[in-house]
Amino acid sequence: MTHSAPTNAPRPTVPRKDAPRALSASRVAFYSHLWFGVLFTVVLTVIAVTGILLNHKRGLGLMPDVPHEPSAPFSTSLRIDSLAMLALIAAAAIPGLIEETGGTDPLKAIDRMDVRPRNGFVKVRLRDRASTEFTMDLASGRVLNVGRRGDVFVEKLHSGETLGDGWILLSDAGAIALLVTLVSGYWLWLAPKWRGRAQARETSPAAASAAS
Amino acid sequence: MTLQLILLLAGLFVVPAVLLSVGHRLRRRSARVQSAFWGAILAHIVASLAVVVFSMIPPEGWQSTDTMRGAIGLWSLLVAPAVGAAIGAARAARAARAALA
Repeated sequence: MTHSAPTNAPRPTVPRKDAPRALSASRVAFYSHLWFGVLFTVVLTVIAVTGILLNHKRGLGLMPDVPHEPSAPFSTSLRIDSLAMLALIAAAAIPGLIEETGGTDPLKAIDRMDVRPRNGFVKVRLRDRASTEFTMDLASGRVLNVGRRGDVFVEKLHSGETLGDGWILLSDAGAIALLVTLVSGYWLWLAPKWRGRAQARETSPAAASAAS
Repeated sequence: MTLQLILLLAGLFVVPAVLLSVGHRLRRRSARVQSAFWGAILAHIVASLAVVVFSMIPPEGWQSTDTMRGAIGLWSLLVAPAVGAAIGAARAARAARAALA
C-alpha cells in the first residue's frame, strides 16, 4: 500500500530544517529571473532576431549564392595576388567603390579572400561599407558575380561589434543573462514541486500513524 | 565611449532598472505614479521595437544627414519612457481634477 498526502485536506504544518534556505533560493531565483529578464530584453531580442537572419542569410538574399563548377584543375589556379588585382580592376569599374575602400592597395582595400576549391572560385570581399564581394573563377579570374554581403553587418550586430571593439562584452552579458534566466526559470518551476514532494513524504507517515 | 553610447546604455539598462524598482509594490503608490509607470512601460516597449527595427538598417543606407536613425536608435529608449511617464502622470492629474469637479 502506498501512502499519499490527501489533496483536499489541509496539510499539517511540519517544521522543516531547510525551509528558510529553500525560500531564500526561490527569492534569489525569482528576482534574478525578473531583473535579468527585464534588463536584457532589448539586447536578447536583437541577438535573437539577428541570429534568425544569419541562419537564413542565403534564403533572405543577405549573401550572394553563386552555383559554379571548377573550370580547370585546382593546380592550374591563378596566383592569389593576381586574383586580388583582378578583383580590384573589376571594382574600379563601379563608381565610388575604390575610393570607399581607400585605394587600390590590396592590403588596404581587401578585407579577406575566401578560396573554395570544390566550387572553383574565390570570394574577394572589399572593405567598403556594404562589404562588396567579387566571386571570381580560380582558373580564369573571370568575375562570376558581384554582390553585397549584408550578413557581415548583421553578424556584427549579433556580436555587438557594430558599436565598437569591446562591445562583444554586451552580447556576452546577454548570453549570461539568458543562462541565468533559464536556470532560475527552471528553479521556479521545479522547486515548488520538489518541496511539495518532500513535504508529502514527511507528512504521510504521520497521517498513516494517525489513521492506525 | 561617446555620449550617444552612454545614452544607449542608459536606455537599455538604467530605464528598465528604474521601472522595475518603481513597479515594486505598485498598488501602494499614488494613482499619478501608477499612471506614469504604465505610460513609461508602454513607451519603452514601443521604443524597444523601434530600436530593433532601426538597428537593422545596413551601413550602406547610413548617411551623415540621417538624424532619424540616431534619434530612434540611440535616444528613444531614454526619451520615450520619460515622455510616456509625463503623459501618464498628466492623464492621472486630469482624471483627478475631473473627479473633484
